[in-house]
Amino acid sequence: MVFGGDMRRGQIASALLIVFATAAPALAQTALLKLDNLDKLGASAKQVIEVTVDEQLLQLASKFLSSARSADEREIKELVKDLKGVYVKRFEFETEGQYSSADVEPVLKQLRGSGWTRIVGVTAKGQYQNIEVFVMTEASLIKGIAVVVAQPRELTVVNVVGPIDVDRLSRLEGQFGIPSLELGNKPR
Amino acid sequence: MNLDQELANALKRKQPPPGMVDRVMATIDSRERPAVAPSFWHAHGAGLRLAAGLVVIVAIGFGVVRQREALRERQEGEFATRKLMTALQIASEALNDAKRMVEQ
Repeated sequence: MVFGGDMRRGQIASALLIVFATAAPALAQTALLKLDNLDKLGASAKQVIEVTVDEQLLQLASKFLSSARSADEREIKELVKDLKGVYVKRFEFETEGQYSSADVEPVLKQLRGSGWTRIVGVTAKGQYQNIEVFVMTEASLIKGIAVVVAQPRELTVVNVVGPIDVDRLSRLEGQFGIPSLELGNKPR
Repeated sequence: MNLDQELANALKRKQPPPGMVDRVMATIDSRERPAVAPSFWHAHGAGLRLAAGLVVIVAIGFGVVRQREALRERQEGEFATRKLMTALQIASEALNDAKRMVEQ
């Protein structure tokens, strides 16, 4: 009887181990943010830029990028080689007050959760301007970046999933023949 | 008659009887010709031509499909690259905005 009870306990322990082992990856923190709640701002925006580059698209782009063709392409290929995704939403409004902090709150709420660390938080005095930069790290390795740029007539949310060199990313501005996306009210 | 005279008479050129040529030609024509085995090409020529035509059509079709596939792959690759560059551009700008605001 005792032997039977030990066996049952052993079986339960094995079953629990299997459950935890299979559930662990699903429970692992992901740097992927849910940005769907921002979509409603598109109705009042003058212009919406939404770029979704998931892992599949990244692989396709990486395959197409040629290190031999140009230094720019080599730079990008190197930069994105371990990335899992890049997600961008930018809304430009005709007038001020087209969105509120409540619209951005669901995104910030995710970023205040565990795993994320705010490395930059700037609120300009005298005007509605708020920039926040968050990183998710694991064992000194960046797992993701999130940037929220809230300005009177513009809201930009960027979510980079996967390890990336932030310095190299910031150096890309105005490169690759893509004109710098100058928008009003930006401190230049 | 001596022997020489007999030989001369025997070997003297004579005209064939009338109708001899026609009879000989009729005899030749009436003979069965030996059966000649047809060549492989003659026996299967139509089938071979059809098969060769089909092979060419299939090869051309395959080439066209492959070319279209390569074009589609290239277009998708270019599209993905443009999207990626735009996303990185905006991400870079946003980071630099943060940097500039911190420096201000």
